[in-house]
Amino acid sequence: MFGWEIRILFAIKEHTVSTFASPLQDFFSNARTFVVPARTPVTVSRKKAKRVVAIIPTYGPGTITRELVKDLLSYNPTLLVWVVDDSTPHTNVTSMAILTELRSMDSRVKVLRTPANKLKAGALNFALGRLFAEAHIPDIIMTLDDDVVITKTTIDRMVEDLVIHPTLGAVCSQCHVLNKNSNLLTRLQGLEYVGFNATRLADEGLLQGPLVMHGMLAAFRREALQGAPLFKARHLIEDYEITTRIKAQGWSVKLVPHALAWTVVPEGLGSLWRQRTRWTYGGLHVLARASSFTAVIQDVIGHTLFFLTAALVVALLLTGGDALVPPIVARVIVLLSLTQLIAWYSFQLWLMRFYDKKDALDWLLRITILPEFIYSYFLTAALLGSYMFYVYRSLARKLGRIPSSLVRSVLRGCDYVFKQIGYSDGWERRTAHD
Amino acid sequence: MFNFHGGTAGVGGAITPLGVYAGYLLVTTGNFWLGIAFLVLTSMFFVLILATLCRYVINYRRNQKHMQEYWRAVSVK
Repeated sequence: MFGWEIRILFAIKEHTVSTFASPLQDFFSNARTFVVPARTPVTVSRKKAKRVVAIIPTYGPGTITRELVKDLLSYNPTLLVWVVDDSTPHTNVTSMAILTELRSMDSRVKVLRTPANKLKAGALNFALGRLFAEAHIPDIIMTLDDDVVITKTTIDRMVEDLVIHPTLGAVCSQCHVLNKNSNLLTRLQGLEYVGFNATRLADEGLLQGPLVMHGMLAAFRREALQGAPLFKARHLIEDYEITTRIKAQGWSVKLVPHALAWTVVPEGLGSLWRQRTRWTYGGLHVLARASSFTAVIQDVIGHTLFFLTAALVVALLLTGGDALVPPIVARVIVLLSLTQLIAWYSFQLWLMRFYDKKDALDWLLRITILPEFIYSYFLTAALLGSYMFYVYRSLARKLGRIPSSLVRSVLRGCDYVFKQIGYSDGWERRTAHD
Repeated sequence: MFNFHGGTAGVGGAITPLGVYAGYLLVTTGNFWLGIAFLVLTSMFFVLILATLCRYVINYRRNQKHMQEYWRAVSVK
């Protein structure tokens, strides 16, 4: 029997949408979901088993990729697995041996090879092109990184959620850190990822759901992906980009809280910086080009608050103090800030119950706050750099048209400096954690 | 002025040090209108935090209930 064969009768939660609903009613209805999230409609389903395919783009696969494919096959008896080798050099003997092993592992495994290195989005598109040309396209298409570890029920639970929620276009797993004990930096990322999962759960039912269906492990309804229809090749964060396009079609998305998966995070400061600059700068690109406001609402709020805070800092630096702030104003500010801090801190401590394999050092990092606070400075720096690079690139496109060797030299110099500190428009080569 | 770590851009986490710096500047210099502006901004953060916490608690309970129903039904099957 198929694990995700749904034979359960759920009550249908009808969404009563009035034809005459005014924009004001819509506004209040949407505003309400900021506090009380909308319920994701559930359907009565006696569907036959869904056909599901997992696409794994890989470059230089290692043992973790082989184990992932093995686990996918053994935990999910009908799952098809497509591994897309993104032109791993033939000189990489170990990876070539693993790819050969994968080819002969099971009839459900198909190994494709791109004609040239296309990076993750290009490799996914290469597989999707083949998939959409098939006579029987699977109902659900999953995309996975090649360094993911799953549990027996991860795939099952994600498919279940897509089957019983007809308005969902995509779902994603929780993400946890596989190598969290490597060093202080990975431990901080481990704690941060617990926050990511919490934020995604909180955003379920807020307009169209969480901001990003992360590329580490996401499942797409066929119709939603066909409507997109492909990942944007060479985009810095193709997962965020495709999530906004799926939302723009009217689909909602959500985290599947009971679907667990682990991934490897950067262990060095340099590789982490490179990852975060890619996320922040790529995020600005997605935001600038998003066709649907509701698809990126979390980022709109976040960036707006950031700019308002930054503007206040600048205003305070530029204006002289008159020491006329009424005591009541100061007291309310302190009261609100302390209440927030206590609520936030308590919540962070409570979230630790969901942290897999936590130890005394993780507790110490969380309780003392300071390491995470310093880490947030790191994030601030990456974000500020992204703003600067975004503004610079916009100016450079205009200045580049000026026929002056001086201007070109200055731009080349700026390009070099930004590139040295991790900012560029695209990926020129594959590295780990790309 | 604390916020969740979250979002693709990590904006939530990134705001924290900037907000603390703004508070520090306000305390050291003091300015009526900027004090009012800071109060408004702090209130916005406050509402955002509470709303997010509310949504989290509601969704957590809903998912828990839903999954319990699901697994109960599956075990009956």
